[in-house]
Amino acid sequence: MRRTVLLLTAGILGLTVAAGCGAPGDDSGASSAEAELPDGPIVIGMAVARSGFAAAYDLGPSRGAELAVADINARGGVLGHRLELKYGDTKSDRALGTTVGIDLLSRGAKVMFVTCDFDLGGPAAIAATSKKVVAVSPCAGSSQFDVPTLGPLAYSMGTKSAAGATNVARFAYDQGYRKAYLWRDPSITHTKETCAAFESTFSAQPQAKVVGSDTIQQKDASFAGLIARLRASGADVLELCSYNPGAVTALRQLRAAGVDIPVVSNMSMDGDYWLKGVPDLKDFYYDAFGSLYGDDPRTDVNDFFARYKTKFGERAVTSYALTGYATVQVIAKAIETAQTTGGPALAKAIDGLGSYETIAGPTGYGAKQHIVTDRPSVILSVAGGRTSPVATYTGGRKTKEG
Amino acid sequence: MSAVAQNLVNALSLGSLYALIALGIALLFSIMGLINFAHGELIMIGGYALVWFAALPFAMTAVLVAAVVIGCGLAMERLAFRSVRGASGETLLMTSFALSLLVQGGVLLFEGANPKSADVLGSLGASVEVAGLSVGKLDFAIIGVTAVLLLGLAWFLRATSLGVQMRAAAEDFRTARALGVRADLVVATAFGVSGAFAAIAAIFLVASTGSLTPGMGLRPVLVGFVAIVLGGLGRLWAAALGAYVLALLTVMLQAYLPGGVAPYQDALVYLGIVMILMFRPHGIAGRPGAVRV
Repeated sequence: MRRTVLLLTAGILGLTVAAGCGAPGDDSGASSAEAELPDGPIVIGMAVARSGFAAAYDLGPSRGAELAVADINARGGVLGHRLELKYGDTKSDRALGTTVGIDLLSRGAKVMFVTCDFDLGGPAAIAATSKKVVAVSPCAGSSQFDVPTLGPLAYSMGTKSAAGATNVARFAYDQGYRKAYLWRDPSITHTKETCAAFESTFSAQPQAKVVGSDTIQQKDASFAGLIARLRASGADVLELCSYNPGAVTALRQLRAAGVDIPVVSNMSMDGDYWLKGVPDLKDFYYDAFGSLYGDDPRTDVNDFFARYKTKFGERAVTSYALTGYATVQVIAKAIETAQTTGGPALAKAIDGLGSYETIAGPTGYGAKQHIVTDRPSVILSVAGGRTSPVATYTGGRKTKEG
Repeated sequence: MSAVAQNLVNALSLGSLYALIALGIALLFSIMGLINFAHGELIMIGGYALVWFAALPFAMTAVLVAAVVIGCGLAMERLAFRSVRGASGETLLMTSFALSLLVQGGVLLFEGANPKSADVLGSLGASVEVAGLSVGKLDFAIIGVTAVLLLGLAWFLRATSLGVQMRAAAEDFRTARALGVRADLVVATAFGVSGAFAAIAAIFLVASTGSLTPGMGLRPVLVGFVAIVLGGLGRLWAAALGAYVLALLTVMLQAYLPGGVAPYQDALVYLGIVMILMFRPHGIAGRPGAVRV
């Protein structure tokens, strides 16, 4: 027994020492911070979920990043260096995020691309930034993915939840709706922030008010009680601050109960994979990075989704794929500007890009704001089994029809 | 008053769905002391089978879904549970957990993690007015089918030889075997009936939610287990009673909780159950040591 304990202790000590020596810590971390440019390709570490429930959400942005890398390398790379993506699988496990991040740093990652969610992407981002390496999540929308929580080297290419909700609220008002009812799903920060921003923006419009709200839960099997209260409220629009699969259940039961008021929602409803669950859905609107159906107002977006389908043999599931491409665009531009991959200098370059035009629209950061707040939202409408763009809103104002 | 009546109708519908799930679990617990957490995976497989056979006429789809789920239930019994029959409750529980994870992982591998959607029984996706109440056609179907199944199960257990053997096995498995009850047949029948209930629950669950994921079985199995404990362990009708009480608590809290407290709805439901169990430690209709079907 004593021998076992001793062996275990020795083993743990050995592992600790080995980890200390082998981790990309002090030396490599410091070199990352001070790095100019590597001799070979510039490695972007992809600390994303390739298995588990989050794999579906990371797939599109990761493929988007692959398309961007192919395009940039075809033009000669960045400052003569090819870009190379190296993948690590976080298996949708928060705890593994740190391990995968550290592993990718040891494999030469100079910039880290992390999962599209604050909770799941945060650990790998922290692993990178603690070694002074810039980390970017392609589409985390939580306001926590910003400087106060993750420090000055972490960025999100996602649109801040509140910014999207502000655009949707203004769209709802412009459609003539004046009495909104809210269904709040408190299970993730994104939906909480979405409802809060919708409420404040919509209520601030003349003659508009929020006439009631209810809490909904992902696991609710029956929404009958909530539907009865919504019906009694006299609301002319419902803001559904939720995501799938719970949102599909709520919509299906709402329409089955004969409540046909318009429903507005958020970008987590992007894609048409769920429409079978609510047949003949109409008067449903949400904001997205773009339309993936070939009818986006921007030609480059339509070209992107056509190329995506050609390269990967299937259509993108959501427009989130655009953010992976945009992330690599911003990283490449910042490296060109900074002439280095060292974290602080690279971050300064990203902050200084101003309103930089990406495939996901103009993207801008500041020293104290590392998540996108004023990107255009393409408002998509679902009707007759088809999803199509109806307007573009930016900063709470309509900027384009269709 | 009409609001209360409306909520009662809603609770009756939800309770019927819960009862279908609880009965599938209770049947196996009564006969072999197994709390089958893999029952949720049977429901999940039923959900995916609905998508696989969606192109067929609904009657054919339903038959095929039932065949797949019952087949999976029988395979579970033969491959996983038969070798641990008679083992301690802990061993059975761990086996069912392992099986649950294995099946869920397998479906994740082949179907992916993306939520899928399906329009099942879409023709029942409308409501009708009854005495001033709005009742979904699907609610009518769930309540009616569950009632028929409950009566059918009671008849099967009391009026058929196999049913009587199952009741005898539930009373005392060893003695029943000594008296000539065929253990393999009785247990396999229990898994088959449990699978049939899981298949029907899957149809109504997907018809109600319109979506499915590899993890969709977890919530139903927890609900079913809580309903069994609430109603009283070991009695099938008590499991159904527990399901209806649980649904009533859930619907009433959903309807009447003020907004600020609404996120804690589940916590309050389970607080209510804890309070009931404080006064009725063996469940609402349970008796100490009672294990019957």
